[in-house]
Amino acid sequence: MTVAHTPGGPAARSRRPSGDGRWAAILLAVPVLGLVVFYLWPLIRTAILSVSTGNPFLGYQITGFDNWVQVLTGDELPRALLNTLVYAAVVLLGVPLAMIAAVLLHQRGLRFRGLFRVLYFLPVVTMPAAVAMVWRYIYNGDFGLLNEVLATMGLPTTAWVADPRTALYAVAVVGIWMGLGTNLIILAAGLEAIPDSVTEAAMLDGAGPVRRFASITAPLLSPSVFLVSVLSVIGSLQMFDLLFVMLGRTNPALADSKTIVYLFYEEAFVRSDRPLGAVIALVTLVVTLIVTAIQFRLQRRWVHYA
Amino acid sequence: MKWKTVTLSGALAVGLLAGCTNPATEGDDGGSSDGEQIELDFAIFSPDQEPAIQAVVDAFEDENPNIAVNLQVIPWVDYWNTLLTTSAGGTGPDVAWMLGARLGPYLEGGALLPLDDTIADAGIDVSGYPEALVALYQRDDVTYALPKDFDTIGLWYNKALFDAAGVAYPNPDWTWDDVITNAQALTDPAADVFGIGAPLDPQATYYNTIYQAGGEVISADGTTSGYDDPASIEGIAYWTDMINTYGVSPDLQSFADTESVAQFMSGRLAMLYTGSFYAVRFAADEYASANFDVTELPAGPVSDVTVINGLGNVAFAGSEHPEEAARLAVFLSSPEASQIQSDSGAVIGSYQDTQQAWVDAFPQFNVQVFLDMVDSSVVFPVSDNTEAWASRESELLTPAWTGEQPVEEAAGNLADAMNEALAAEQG
Repeated sequence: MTVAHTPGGPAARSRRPSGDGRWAAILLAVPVLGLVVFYLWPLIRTAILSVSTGNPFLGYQITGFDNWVQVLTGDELPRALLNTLVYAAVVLLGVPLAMIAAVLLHQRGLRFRGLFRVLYFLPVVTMPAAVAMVWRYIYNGDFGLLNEVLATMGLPTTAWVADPRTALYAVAVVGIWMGLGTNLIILAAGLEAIPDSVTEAAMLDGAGPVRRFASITAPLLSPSVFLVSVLSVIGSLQMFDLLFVMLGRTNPALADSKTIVYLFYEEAFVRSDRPLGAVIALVTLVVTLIVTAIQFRLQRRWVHYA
Repeated sequence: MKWKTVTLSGALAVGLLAGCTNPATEGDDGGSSDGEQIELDFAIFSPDQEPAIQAVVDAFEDENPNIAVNLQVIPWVDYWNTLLTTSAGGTGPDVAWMLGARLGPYLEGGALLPLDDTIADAGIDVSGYPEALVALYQRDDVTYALPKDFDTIGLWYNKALFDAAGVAYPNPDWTWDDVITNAQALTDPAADVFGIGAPLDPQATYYNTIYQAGGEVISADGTTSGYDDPASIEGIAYWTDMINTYGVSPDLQSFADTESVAQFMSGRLAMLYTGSFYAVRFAADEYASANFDVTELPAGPVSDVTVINGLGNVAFAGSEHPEEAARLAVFLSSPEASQIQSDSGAVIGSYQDTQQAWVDAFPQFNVQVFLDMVDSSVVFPVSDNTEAWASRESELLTPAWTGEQPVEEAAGNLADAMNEALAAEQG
């Protein structure tokens, strides 16, 4: 940290006033170049591909907006959009869960804090494919762990990831479980940043634990909660791996659970129709931009920057 | 601490770069030294077959000491995408495995080498291969691959479950009706045993019965769908009735959770239509090896045909050494290669009189039936852009399997989607 500060520090500025801008430009050029080469240029290529037709061997020629018309008027996109938004909304429920866990872990005098943190973070560093295989076993309709537990309690059972009514939600539960660790870390950092003096002052004023959480912790934590929510939604809008591994191609629930990125995969890589895939990729980008913009709009109502 | 991280990630980046560039540089080096040592890249997707294929490659290298073949195994989920992208981008392998269903885009793009001259030079009599499979890799009388192996479908059954139910084992004279009647006798809900498995699997199940009922998946000229043909619908209804009318098979949800072969191997299904390619897995499993056997497919209303499919070896026109690449592709499907593969037991070699070793590898099963059925086989249906409609099959037939739609309706929807895709192929 200290090393990074020195060139921009007051001493440096007074000695070399003109050098600052030049060095900044040179140093900034490297990441900007990376952005242009690895993000901006592919984006432009994708946009061009989305209005082209052709074959990977003979090349693609720009032919107009037929691909866009085909995707936007097709019957698959609206369903996939709805599925994706439902998934994102369900996974968003993981944020309050992470908040509760973060506050509990932040309690003073908690024993085995490190162990708990490791346990919560473990799903994050586990391969999604491996996670999905374990959950497939848990959810199995004939031999699954979940159904065995439900059956002993006399509750109804189903083939959780093969039943169109439950598959998307069953996958979302895994999504929440996998995201909990990351959310927890960010929120825990947010909690650490709340000065003890504020909490102590509230205590002296006679505020109980619930009141302290509602009036002190929650508002001061809201910027972190907002960040976690935005990241969670963006991640959810790109959901593919869990669905791919947990459902499989001949699953009767697939049509009712397909996300936009899964649709993109089918067009671009199963049917090898790259231009249609490009259209869906751009639709995903636009949807992500819109949803994130809405979140930034709404944050004014509930996020308090101290 | 910080420096350690930087050094580590730097080393990692260098390692990654090296990892990325090494194979390419090696390939280029092989190309620049003309006439001397030549390197060819050869891509396959089956780790199970790697030892057998490596043995074939070794035999080729012995005959051609100036050629080194670099065998690459690309996992199935990435294989077709990687092959299409790299061969279009000019960085692909020289020779690769090909399926009839994937051939279209490569032919359209002129990406493959014609092999007829090389085949003639090698002195191979093409009539020794199953005729339908040779035709699968030909367009306008030009051969782009020879079949290296083949697979057919048989009726596998679990003797232990037949014995327990006191039912006689299936025989080659069985018809569809025999399958249903016996499956009913074998089904025992209390023991969680089903008479047969009816998964939504084109090659193993409904393609066979569509042709057995006198229907077709695609018209002979490859321009229209056969799914709305009443005979095709009958061939599909055979399977959906097993689940929705007779209750002799688990439903589609069950197969989505636990694949049919796994259910069969755990003793939950008494019968399963599936391919010769599972002989290896069944022989390696103690329970399956002791209890399973196989017979010819039961006869449908019109015939008892099976679907036959097989991999081919193609050479790419973009290869720096087209002549050697073509020679390798032909050798990989030659009678000699066929013999080596049959000996390994992994697959049935494609060339006549080289297959006995494969049969001998499985004394516990009557796998001879897979060879006997070749004479009454139909080739796996394809068009110029097979995946454009084949990728819709599962999705659109699902409502028929779950009983939400009558088979006529689901098959009709599939026929519409397929005709649309076929019309797009015609341009």
